[in-house]
Amino acid sequence: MTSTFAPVLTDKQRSVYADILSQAVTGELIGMANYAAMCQLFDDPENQIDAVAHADNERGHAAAFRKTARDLGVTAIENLAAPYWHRVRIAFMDHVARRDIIACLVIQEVMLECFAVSMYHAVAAVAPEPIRSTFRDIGDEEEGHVDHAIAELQAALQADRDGFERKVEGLHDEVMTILAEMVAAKDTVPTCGLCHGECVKGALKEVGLDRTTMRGQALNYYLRILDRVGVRGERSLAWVARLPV
Amino acid sequence: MSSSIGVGEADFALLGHQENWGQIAAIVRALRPSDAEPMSLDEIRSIVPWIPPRTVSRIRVRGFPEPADAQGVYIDTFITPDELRSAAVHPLLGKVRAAAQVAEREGARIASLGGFTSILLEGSLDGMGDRVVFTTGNSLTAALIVKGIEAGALRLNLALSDATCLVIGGTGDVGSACARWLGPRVGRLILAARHPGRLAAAARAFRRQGIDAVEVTALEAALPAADVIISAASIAAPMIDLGTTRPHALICDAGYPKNLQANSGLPRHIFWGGIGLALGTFWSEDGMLERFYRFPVPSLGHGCMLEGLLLAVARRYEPFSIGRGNITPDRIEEIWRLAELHGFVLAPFFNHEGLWPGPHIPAANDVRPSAGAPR
Repeated sequence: MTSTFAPVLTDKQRSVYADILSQAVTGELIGMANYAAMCQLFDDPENQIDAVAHADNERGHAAAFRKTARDLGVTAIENLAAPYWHRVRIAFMDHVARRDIIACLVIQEVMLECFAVSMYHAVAAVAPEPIRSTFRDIGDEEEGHVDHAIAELQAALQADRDGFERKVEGLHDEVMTILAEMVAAKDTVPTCGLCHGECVKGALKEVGLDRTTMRGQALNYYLRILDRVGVRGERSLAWVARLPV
Repeated sequence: MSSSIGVGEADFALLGHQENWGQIAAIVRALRPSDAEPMSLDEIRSIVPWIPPRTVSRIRVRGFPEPADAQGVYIDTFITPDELRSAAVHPLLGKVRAAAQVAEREGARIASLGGFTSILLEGSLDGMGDRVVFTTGNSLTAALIVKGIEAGALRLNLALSDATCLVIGGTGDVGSACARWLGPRVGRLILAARHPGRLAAAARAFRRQGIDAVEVTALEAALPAADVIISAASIAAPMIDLGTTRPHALICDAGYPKNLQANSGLPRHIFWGGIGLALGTFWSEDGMLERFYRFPVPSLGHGCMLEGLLLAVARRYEPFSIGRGNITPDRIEEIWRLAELHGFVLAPFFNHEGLWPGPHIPAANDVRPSAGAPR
C-alpha cells in the first residue's frame, strides 16, 4: 500500500493518526448501529426513514475515515467489542429495549455527537490535508446531528423539567462517564482495543494535539449543548464535576 | 419556605469570577462527590477554563427591617486567575457576554457585574437583550470603602482631616469615586495609577477644587507618606508590598483580586474593604454559595454583588452604576441611604487573619456625621 502522506508525516505521526482513525471509524460504526436500532422505535415511516438516513450518514463517515486510513497507508482497527465503545453500545441498546426515544437521542445525538464534533474539529485544526478536510467536514455534519436533536429535547424539557433533567443526569452518569474514562489520564481497562501499540494518548503531542485540551473542548461543547437544551447550569456543572479525570 | 427558584424567575443576577485558584478548587470540591477520586489542583486548572459561564447557585435575599424579598442567581463566568493575568481581553469579554446571556435566560431584571465582569459596561452592549439592566455595583463598593475608612479612622482616633490618604488605582471607577468622596475630607490626597496622562488630569481636577492633591506612578515614595491607604487597582494577584507603610496606618484592600501582599505580623490596620453585611441575610437554596463564598461571618458580600441584591430588594431595576468615572459623592450618599434603608451595612473589619479584635460590628451605624463631614 502506498502512502500519499509519506513526505509530510513521520512514522510516529502516521501511527498516531492510525490510532485516531481507529477511534473515529469504530465510533462511526457504533453510531450507524445505534441509528439503525432506533428505527424500530418509530411507528411512522418518516421517522424510520430519518433514522435509516442517519445510519447511512454514519456509514458514510466510517467509509470516509477508512479511505483516509488507506490513503495514509495505515490500517484503522475496527473493533465494535473495544471495551469503552462496547459499554456505550450496551447502554444505548438498553434504552432501545425500553423504547425510550429521548434517552436514545440524548446518548447518540448529544453525548456521542458532542464527543465526535469536538474531537474531529480538534484533529482538523492540526492535521495536514486531506486528513484535515475529512475530519472538518464530518465534524460539521455531526454538528448538524446535534442541532437536529435540540428542538425535540427542548420540548421534552419544557413538558417536564425535573423529570427530563433526572433522566439526562442518569444518562450522563451512564454514558459520559465511559467517554470521560476514554480520555482520562488513567485507563480503567488494560487496553482500549483500538490502539495499534502503546496508548495513543501519550503520543498525541506528536501531531500537535493534547489530551487535556481535547477533553476540555469536548466538555465545553457538551455543556453548551445542554445549555441550549435548557438544562439548568448548576445541574450540568455538578454532573461534569463528578466525571473521572 | 417558598418553592425553588425556576429558570426565568430571577429578579437579579450576580455575575462574577473567583479571585484565586483556591476558591475555584473550593467550588469543584464542593461539587465532586466524596467517593470520587479527589482532583488535584493541576487537574482543576486544566478543566475549569473550559467551563462555559453558567448559573452556579440560586439565591434569596431578604431586606431589613422591611421584609422585602428578592430571588436570583449567581452566575460564574469561570474566568480564571490565569486568564486575568493574560493580555487577551477578547476571550474574557466573550465569557462575560455569555454570562450576561445566561442572566437574560434566567429572567433577571437587574444584573450586577463583579470584578473583571464590569468591563461589559465599558464596551458595547450590542446583542444583549433589553430586559436585563446592568450595573457594575461600583457605587455601593465605593460607599462601603469610604464609610469603612470613616469608621476605621474613628475607631483608631485618626483625624481624617489631618491625614494623608493614598488611593492606589485612583483613576479607576472605584478608586476615583473614593478619591472624590475623600478629597474634601482629608488633609492630603495622593493618587496612584499606571496611566500618567489620566492620573495627572485627575490630580489637576482636585487641585482646581482647592484640594491638596498630588499624583504618583510609583508607590515607593507614596506608601511611607500615607496615614490612610485605599488599594483598588485592577491587578491579577497581590503585588503591593506593605513593608514600607507607616506603622498603624489604616489600610483598605478593596482589590478584586486582592492587591496587597499579606505581611502577617506588621502593626498595620488592614481591612478588606468594599464589603458589606446584609442584615436581612441572603442564602443559596442548595447551600452551594456558602461553600465557596466564605467570610468570617455569614451574609457578607462584595459591594458589587450587594448592589445587585439591594437594587432588587428595593425594586429599583436601574443601571445605578455604569461607565467609568461617573460615581459622584452624591451618588455614593444616595446608594448608602438606600443601603441603610434595606439593611445593607458595613461588614465588620476583617482581613486575611480574620476579624479585627474588639467589637465585631463597629461599622457604619456608629459613624457620627461630624466625623466625616467635608471641610
